[in-house]
Amino acid sequence: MMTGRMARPTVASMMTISPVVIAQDAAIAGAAELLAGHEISGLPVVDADAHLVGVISQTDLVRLRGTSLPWAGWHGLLVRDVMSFPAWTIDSQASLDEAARQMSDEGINRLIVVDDHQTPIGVISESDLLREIAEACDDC
Amino acid sequence: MDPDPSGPTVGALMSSDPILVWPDTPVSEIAEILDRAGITGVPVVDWNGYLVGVVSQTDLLRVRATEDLWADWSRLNAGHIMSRPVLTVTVDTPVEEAVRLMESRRVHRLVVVADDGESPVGVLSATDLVRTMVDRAD
Repeated sequence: MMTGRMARPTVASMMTISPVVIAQDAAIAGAAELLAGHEISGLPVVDADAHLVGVISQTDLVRLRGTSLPWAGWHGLLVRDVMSFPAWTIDSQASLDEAARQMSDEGINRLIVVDDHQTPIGVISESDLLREIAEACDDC
Repeated sequence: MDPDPSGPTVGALMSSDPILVWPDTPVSEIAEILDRAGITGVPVVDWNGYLVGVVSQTDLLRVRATEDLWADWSRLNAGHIMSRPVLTVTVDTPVEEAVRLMESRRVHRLVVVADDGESPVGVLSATDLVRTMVDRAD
């Protein structure tokens, strides 16, 4: 221990860095492929300037799947038609306690970390917090 | 493969033989199980193997986010924090019906039970559904 003081775990310590993102004008099938291929539950949506504009998640796709829209119909949809927005964001230096509270209070499964230009640089998800919980309790 | 003109059923998409926990399984153990298996929730069964609840990542996160509960972490077990009643379907439930149930009740998984209505035989998750949307896109 360098400082003799317990470091408070931050979002930066558990988040996924350089997360997979998708363009708002991408086809919805592309989002399904990314989610399934990377085994993730949601991803940031960006505009042409790489600014965060929303999040698309499994939940959004299940909602789409649950509509009466015929199967053939959703092929023409774009990510921006289905995504949730605005995205919930958090500072990379925020504590994991704060991240857990924000997700729990808002009923969401992930928070996006952005830089000064609103470009996504990280994602912290329920799975990341779960990993932290599981590791923290090795000696419980 | 799918002779039923009304469409696929839950049995075709679900994950079979789900990992199960008991009401007295410690939450710390459940966190490790979910993390290691890469899943987002587990059914809770009693000693007869009957479904009594579900513990999900979201339930564990709620504990993490609540100071009093987090302080008690090492003493909590599944029975304390599980969600119930559990939304269930059977292998014969049409996928479309299962999707509408998940969507309207805002859950990420349904437990698939045997004909007795109480013994878990699988889990249908949002992940399973998104996978089908990729297949259909081909």
